[in-house]
Amino acid sequence: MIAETKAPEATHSVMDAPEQPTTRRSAPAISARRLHHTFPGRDGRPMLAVNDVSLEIPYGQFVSVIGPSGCGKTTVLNLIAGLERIQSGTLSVLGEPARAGRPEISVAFARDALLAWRDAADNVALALEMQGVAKAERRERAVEMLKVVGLGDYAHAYRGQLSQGMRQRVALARSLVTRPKLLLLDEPFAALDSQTRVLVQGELLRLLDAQAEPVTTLMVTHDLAEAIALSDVIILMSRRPGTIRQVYRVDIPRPRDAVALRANHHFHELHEQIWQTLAKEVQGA
Amino acid sequence: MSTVNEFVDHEAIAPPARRGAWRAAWRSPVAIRLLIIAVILGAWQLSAAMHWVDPLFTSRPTQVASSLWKIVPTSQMVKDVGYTLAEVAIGYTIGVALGVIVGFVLGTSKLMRDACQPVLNALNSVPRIALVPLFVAWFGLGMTPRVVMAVTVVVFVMVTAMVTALSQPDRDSAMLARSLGASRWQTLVKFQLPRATPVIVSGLELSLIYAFLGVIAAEIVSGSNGLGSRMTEYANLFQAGNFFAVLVVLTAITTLLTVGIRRVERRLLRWHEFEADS
Repeated sequence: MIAETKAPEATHSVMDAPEQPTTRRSAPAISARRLHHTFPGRDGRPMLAVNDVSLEIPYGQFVSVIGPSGCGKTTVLNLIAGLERIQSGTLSVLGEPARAGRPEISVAFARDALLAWRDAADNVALALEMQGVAKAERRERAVEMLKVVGLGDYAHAYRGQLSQGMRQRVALARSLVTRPKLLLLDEPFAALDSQTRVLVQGELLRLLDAQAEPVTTLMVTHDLAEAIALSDVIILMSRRPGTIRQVYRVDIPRPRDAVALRANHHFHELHEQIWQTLAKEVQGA
Repeated sequence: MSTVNEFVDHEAIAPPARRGAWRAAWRSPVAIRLLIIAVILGAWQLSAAMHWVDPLFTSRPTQVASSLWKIVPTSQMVKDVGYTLAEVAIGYTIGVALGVIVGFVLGTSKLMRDACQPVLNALNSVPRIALVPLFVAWFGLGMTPRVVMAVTVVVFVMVTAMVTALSQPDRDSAMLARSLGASRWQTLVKFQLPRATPVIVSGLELSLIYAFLGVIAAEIVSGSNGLGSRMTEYANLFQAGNFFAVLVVLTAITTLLTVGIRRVERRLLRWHEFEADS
């Protein structure tokens, strides 16, 4: 991780990232085969949440998983994050079995999960702290990252003093400050009002485009417009028990502007097309 | 404000700024508080003056004030206060230490909680004051039975606070801790303990009040030193004025200590106030 910090300043957008010459890079960033996952149900009977999910995500891509609530999409993400134990199937993440707490992987949750007793900068620094980065350096990098997400003036603010949108941006800064290779986002904008949501999405697009090394991102969402705006590929999951229903490619060039995008006719075509299938799943037809 | 009011010449009645200031003063919490206290003391004084109650037993505020004036500067009072405070300090320290240790074990282990909680609940429902004669038989008439009494009360207050503080479920930060690769120790020190601090601190505050409660209760029942014993003595001598004067001293001490703890608490837990506001 320390060596990574000296990466060249050159910026690539996720789409036109050059193929990495190393052999490691030719394997997918995430490769899941036949994942099944069962939870103990409320009535005592086991409930199948994830049903035979296989997927491959190449390095540097932004992939969204979308589907009706309770379709198991968060479970898939938690499996990849190593936060849920694999019951059946195989899963390789950045060339290793899934495991929680790897420094090159960042997870952001639907709720910001900021620690109320730390100010914004120390919340961002928390991720570095767990990786053993020295105190002065982590505070400095955290403040730097806060500036990037537009909260440079709020380094000393506590959670209780920040708006919902600001908290989510701090959480985003916390997941990006470690310069992860893989970013796992679980409905990271769900708690935001629709206008703030579009703004923070734009922020994320800008941030990912500005990373020295392309970041592979897997985002779980139930917001179709959000999925289209951010992703290269959208995976549509069925109702519970969740299985992959359809995969869509989003051919909107980068860099994208999250606000202007909403006026793009291709955006609307895709939205219409995916919505047809999604609506069926939501309604249970 | 009705529209009619706008045609009334306020200046003619009273300068508006002053009127506003008066109204603000009357609406302040302090003014209302003082008013309530004044009404209660007034009713007390009046009842005694009119002989609705017998002042021999109830005393009256003016008499309590003069008793205070008389007994506070005496060496007996200084000795009693010192004695009681020493018992409270020892009982509080031991009780808190024990409570923190037991509460930590129960708060962090669901198994231990499930195993021990029913026993603790049963023990806690024992009327402790009834045990004082037994404590006296065991430990004599000195400080020890009072200290033991305080410990038996404080321990449970502190265990309850620790268990409440540490066992509150927080899935969000638990997931965050795991995803950041926090060790068990880091999870405890960086996530669980800071989050538990406000509840633990309010447990410390409550424990202080209960330490006084335990000590005074034991003093009233046994022995001849300390504020509680003094109250028993005055009650037996039908000196209600002196009795209430001691009570006032006691209340003043506990209030001062509690306010002190709150001050420290507010300093340490600035973030907690922001949370409450948001």
